[in-house]
Amino acid sequence: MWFFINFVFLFTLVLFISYFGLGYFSVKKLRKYLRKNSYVDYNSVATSPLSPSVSIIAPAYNESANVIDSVKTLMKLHYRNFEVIIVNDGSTDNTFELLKDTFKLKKCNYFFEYKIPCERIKGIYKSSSQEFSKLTVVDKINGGCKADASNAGLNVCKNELVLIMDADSVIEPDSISKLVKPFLEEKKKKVIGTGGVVRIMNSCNVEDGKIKKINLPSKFLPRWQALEYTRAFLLGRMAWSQLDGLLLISGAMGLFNKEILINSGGYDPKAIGEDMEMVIRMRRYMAERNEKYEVTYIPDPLCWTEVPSDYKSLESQRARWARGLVYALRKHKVMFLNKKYGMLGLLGYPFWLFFEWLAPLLAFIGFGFTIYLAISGSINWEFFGLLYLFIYAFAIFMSSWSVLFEELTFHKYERKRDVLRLLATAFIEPLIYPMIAWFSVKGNWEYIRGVEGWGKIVKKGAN
Amino acid sequence: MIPIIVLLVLFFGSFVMQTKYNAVIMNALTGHGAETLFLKQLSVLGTSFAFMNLLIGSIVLCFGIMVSILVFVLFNRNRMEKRAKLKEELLVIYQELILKSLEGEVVTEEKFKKIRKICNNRFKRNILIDQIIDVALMMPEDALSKLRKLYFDLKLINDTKRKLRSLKWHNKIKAMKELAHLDIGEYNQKIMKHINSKNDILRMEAQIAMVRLSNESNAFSFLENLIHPFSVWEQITLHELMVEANITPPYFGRWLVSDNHSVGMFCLRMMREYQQLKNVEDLNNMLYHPNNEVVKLAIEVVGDLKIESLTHTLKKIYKEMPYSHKLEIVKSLRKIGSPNTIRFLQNVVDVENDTDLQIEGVKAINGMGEKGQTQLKKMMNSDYKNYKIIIKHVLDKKIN
Repeated sequence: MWFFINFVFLFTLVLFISYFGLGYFSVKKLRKYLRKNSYVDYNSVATSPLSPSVSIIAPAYNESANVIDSVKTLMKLHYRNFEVIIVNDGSTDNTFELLKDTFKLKKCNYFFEYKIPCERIKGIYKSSSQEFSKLTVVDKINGGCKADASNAGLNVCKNELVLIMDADSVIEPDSISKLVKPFLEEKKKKVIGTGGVVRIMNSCNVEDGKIKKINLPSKFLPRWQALEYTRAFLLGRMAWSQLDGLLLISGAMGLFNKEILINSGGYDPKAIGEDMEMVIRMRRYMAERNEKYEVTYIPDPLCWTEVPSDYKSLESQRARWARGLVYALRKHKVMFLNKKYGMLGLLGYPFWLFFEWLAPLLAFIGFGFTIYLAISGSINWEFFGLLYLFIYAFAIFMSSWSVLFEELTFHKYERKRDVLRLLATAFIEPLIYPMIAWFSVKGNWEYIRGVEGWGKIVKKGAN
Repeated sequence: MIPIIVLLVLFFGSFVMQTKYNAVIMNALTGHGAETLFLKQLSVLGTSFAFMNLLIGSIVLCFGIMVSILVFVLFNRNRMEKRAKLKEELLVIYQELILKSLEGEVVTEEKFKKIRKICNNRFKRNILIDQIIDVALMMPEDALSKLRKLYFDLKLINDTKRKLRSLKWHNKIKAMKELAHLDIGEYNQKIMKHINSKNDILRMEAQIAMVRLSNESNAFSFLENLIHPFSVWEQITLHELMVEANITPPYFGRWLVSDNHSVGMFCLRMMREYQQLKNVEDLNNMLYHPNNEVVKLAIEVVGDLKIESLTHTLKKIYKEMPYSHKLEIVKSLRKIGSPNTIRFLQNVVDVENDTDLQIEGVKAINGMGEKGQTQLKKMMNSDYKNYKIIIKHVLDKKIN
């Protein structure tokens, strides 16, 4: 018991210090980024003939509700050289038929090589209309995961930089220029991937695949996720980017060097969190070849996505994330405290292992233990109350900190009321933490049982 | 400053407050695992702090910060709203003044005094400077001199000079932009100092300012002195400036041999964009450059400039080149379109197993006029390799 109490104490202490550290490094990175980029004219790179060509790969499975709007938005992106590849991953609804009819698609004699394995590609289609000449649709047999569909797109695409995204994400018109910039800056390290901030579009007004008005989600669960995303992206990923320990570029949108992506084996179809696993593998690939490289993150909100708004969908999503995390950490366990992998092995990996994977499990055990102590009358309620109040205050502090970041940087929520509601959500958030810990336990249990697949997530669409 | 004071008061106040509370807590804890780290007495600078003290202090601090953030957010929103409103009001006054000076109307000393009184802080003066520059960017050359006069009459140059002297790099950038847009060349020496700054943004803005402010004959002379790598980002920005400002390009071939290979790459790109080539030998030498990236770009440029005399060199170096360079060589031979290369390209298609190389090889043969078409027909009838599929791909107009 003595050991357990002291272990938990030290664990928590290190966790809090880590959060302080992340707060500090994210401030540093954000400050530097904002200062440097306030003078940048992204229009230059968008229109310049010297800019690199980009292939956008968007896997689509049963996306009939919004695939047409998504493609139309992609075709209007403000960038000179790009192609759009929509991978129809054996949809069982009319996604493919809609694409075929709307964009006047015709099957073509496309010759390509399966450089990375994926399910059989049935056909490659191009539009007969000049207006959509940048569009390619790949029709393939369902591979059961986004990874397989992304690999199909990688086999077909032409350009050196690939932007992998979700077909239902809404991306900002200038997002390619912003993501491309780190690849064009002269650095001592080769940039292999760039990610940007993903924001939540529940309750936003979306017209023709564009965000017309940004609103804070009206329902509690999406609103809580809005706060969580702000904290995760502006605090967490910015700090890890500064520390060169970034493990994850969101699957909703990321720009990668195709050569490195393919050479490191493409996406792993067995990985549930294929986005995280891919970034780790690319980093391993570079580190094992002793090549200097960098994975960067930019704080600009570039992509909008719909998050689960009901308990069941959220549970399914979070359990899947937990399974993906265990899979990726187990697969790359060789990196743990291995100096060969630099900051990633020494800091990034251990952080994710202890504080992203283990912490919710420990917390869950803690809840059970507290209930046991309460029943057996062994709790010192004054001390318990004080300790809980401290944790509650610390959680609010971290969330407020990220709201402050949002306020000082992009203040996408224009209404004062929205910011205040976001802050108010920070007060309720610590109370729902047991639910999040439970989702994590469920995910780990599913992993042990060998559960596969994505589970069902209900998306209701934006306003 | 106010939030910091509030925090300090809260933090130290908590230690006074907790003395009483701590006694209650410590009594309650006695006998409940007092040997664990939770209860260990921590001694800091000779003062005894119990773990409880730290907890209470931290709770107050966390809530204090939260409240401060809330206050800050509200304050910041109000400040932003006020500033936006003030800016709108100022713009009306400034635009009227700018319009009058553009129309040649004499602005009286009294009016100047009034404007100077309005511009009584940096924020207000910066709005005026930005407005003058915005108008300058849209107006022809003769209007620029009027705007420059207004700028000097209002002594706004003092603000620019102060920014140029500032230790903060973003202020220097602002000053350089102002000088460049208003075409004030007196401070070029000071700007030139930043051409080799370690700060890439400062360096880039200095380059842009120098190109804007120098004579056409020496606008790009800074290329000779560049020590740091000249990033593609900087190159794009500079090229866009040349296009927008209609700057006559110099012959970029003269900097091809720069020790800084990124300068050589910029010159190659510019030679391609402006279709410049005085001496083929300059480009031929770049094909043997020690830097691989330069060689790859030089191969691309040979194709884009359609220099037939260098096809022999391209064929000669093909074997020793890495995959990406081989692909560029085949693409360049396609762009040049010389039927003399058909045999070589046929060999590439026969020998290489990479799909992209084969496709590019067939594309190149297809583009060689009648001779190429005849060769393709021969290939269609051949059972060797998967030529038929590749040719179908190449001939499909939807793809290419």
